[in-house]
Amino acid sequence: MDLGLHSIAYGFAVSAEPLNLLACFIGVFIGTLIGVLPGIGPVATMSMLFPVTYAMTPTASIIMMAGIYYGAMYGGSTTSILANIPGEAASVVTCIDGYQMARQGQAGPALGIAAFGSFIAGTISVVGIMLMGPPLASVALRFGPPEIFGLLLLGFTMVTYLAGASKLKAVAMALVGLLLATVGLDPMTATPRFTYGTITLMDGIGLVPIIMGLFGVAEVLLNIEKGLHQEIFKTQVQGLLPNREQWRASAGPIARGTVLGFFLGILPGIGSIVPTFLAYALEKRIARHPERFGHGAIEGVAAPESANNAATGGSMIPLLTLGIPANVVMAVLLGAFLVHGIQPGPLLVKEHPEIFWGVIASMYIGNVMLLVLNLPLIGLWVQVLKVPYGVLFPLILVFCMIGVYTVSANVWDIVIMLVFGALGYLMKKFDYEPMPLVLAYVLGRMAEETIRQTLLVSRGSVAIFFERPLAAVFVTTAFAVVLVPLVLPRFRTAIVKLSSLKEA
Amino acid sequence: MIGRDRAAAVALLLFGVAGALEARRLTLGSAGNPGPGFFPFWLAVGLCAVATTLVLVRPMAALPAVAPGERLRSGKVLLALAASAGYAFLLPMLGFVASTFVFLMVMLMVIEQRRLISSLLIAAASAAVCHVVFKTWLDVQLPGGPWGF
Repeated sequence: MDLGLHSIAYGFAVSAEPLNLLACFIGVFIGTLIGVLPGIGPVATMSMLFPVTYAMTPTASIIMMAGIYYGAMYGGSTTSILANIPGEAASVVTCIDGYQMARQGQAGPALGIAAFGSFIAGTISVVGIMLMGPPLASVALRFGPPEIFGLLLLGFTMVTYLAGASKLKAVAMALVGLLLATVGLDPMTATPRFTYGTITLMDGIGLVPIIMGLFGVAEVLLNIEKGLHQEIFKTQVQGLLPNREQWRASAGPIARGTVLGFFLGILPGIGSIVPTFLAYALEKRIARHPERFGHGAIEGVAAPESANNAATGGSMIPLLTLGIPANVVMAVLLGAFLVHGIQPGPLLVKEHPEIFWGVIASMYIGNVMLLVLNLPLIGLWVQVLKVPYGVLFPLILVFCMIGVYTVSANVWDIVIMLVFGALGYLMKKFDYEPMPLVLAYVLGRMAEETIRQTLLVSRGSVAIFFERPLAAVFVTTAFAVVLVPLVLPRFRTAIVKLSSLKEA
Repeated sequence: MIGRDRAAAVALLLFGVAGALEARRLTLGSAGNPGPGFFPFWLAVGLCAVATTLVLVRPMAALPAVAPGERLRSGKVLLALAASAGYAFLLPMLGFVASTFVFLMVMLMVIEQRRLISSLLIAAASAAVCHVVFKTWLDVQLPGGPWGF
């Protein structure tokens, strides 16, 4: 514990350096901004800002990227409460009771409890990362190729099983993602694969064009088609501090939402959306007067808002300690690490303690900034909502194209992004989830390398996965995730429920 | 709309078949000594299997039918994509500021059908702000075009 305190103090020293503080501020500010704006999420924003990070130190750029993510969670709640528009998918549930509170003249306390709940949850999850990260990393150090492949397999199965209504479609998307990852030079023999003599494809298809296409451009295209209209509930926001009674009602939901969000966030494929629904459902189930939910119950704001911020923290754990992103946002963060030549994983704590502890401490500082920033700036965010989408979306497209172009100064990357934009648009139309594709793409190279190394060592026998205890645990769990729901109908309904929550 | 669902599955199947055929041109190797084509080939075969199942199995929930008026906005989606592709094409020739201006004008006037004056103002102001932020402030390398900006 002494060592832990020493490390976190070091982290605070790193994150309090002026440049890192500035990066943190820019991150949470932009995050809140795009959290407020519908039609653009943290994933697209983080990839758009990729080129900006080149000029920064690795620590500052990761701090900024992480700030965008949890800042967006804060921003999303503001629009949910004031305008009944979830700026972020993770704030959908907040709309239910938050908007009702606003209509009853309780917009202030609703915003206040969302901010405080997020702050408390964010803070506790930082402590969680601090306590769980290093021990997990030291276990992960003993992983060889079979263990890593087993873990990846488990990740893939979880992601595809939670991805939405159709498991088969999700599996198809994961396979497409893995296939796309094989474009470029073969990692072991350096043979060019599927490059057709082009230089653009030698390095493989870039992560940035894929992500910005699927999450940025596709989202804009869908919104152009829908013709987005915003309506803002005109309300005077005054008195942001919840009263004593509201605090008492919210304490339990915040605590439960935090724990739930944190542990669910660690699991691959869950992201920050499912925990909000589960936290809301849990509060409704244990409430003495469940009928109040949907009519402006403050618990219905406190629990999901805490859960999504805690999940943000939880999802950092697999990335920082195992080098495996648990969701797409973390995949972008992984990209930011790789751009700077740093491989996140078990060695990160030892080799780059300034990044590991600096980022963790910056999340704490960022949470304080958000609290200070968000409460007085709510008026500004409401103004931002009034910018017509018709003006906004061409600009978002320009930012996406500039962002992609600057990564490699190659116009073809813009074309690749547009292709994936069109693809993402069609996928949405045909009910295919982009998430398994992106995650499989990001992890594809690691999966191929590890399985080929494993097969070389075992001379082609897959029995090796069951001879090594840790690998066996991962692989068996992966199979269980697929098989148990088939055998036991009760699990099946539970999973269907979970994925339908995500759909909603 | 089961037909639309099936069409998507057929497209996936074709992608899988193409992937498998292309991967076979690489060295496959064996399970004990996998070559560069081994992983992509078996992935593509897996994709073919999943896509075939998707073609054959009736989907649990059919996709919603195309709503009236949707087709009209779909035209706008195509236009937006075409304009973006045009931007990629113009960028190295006209430079960053000019192509951004042209792109924004097209988007605002054709897709959003704003009036000329407001489009001009928004496009010019946005292009100028982008120039200041990306080139002057962030020092991002962007093509200059014949007039240097």
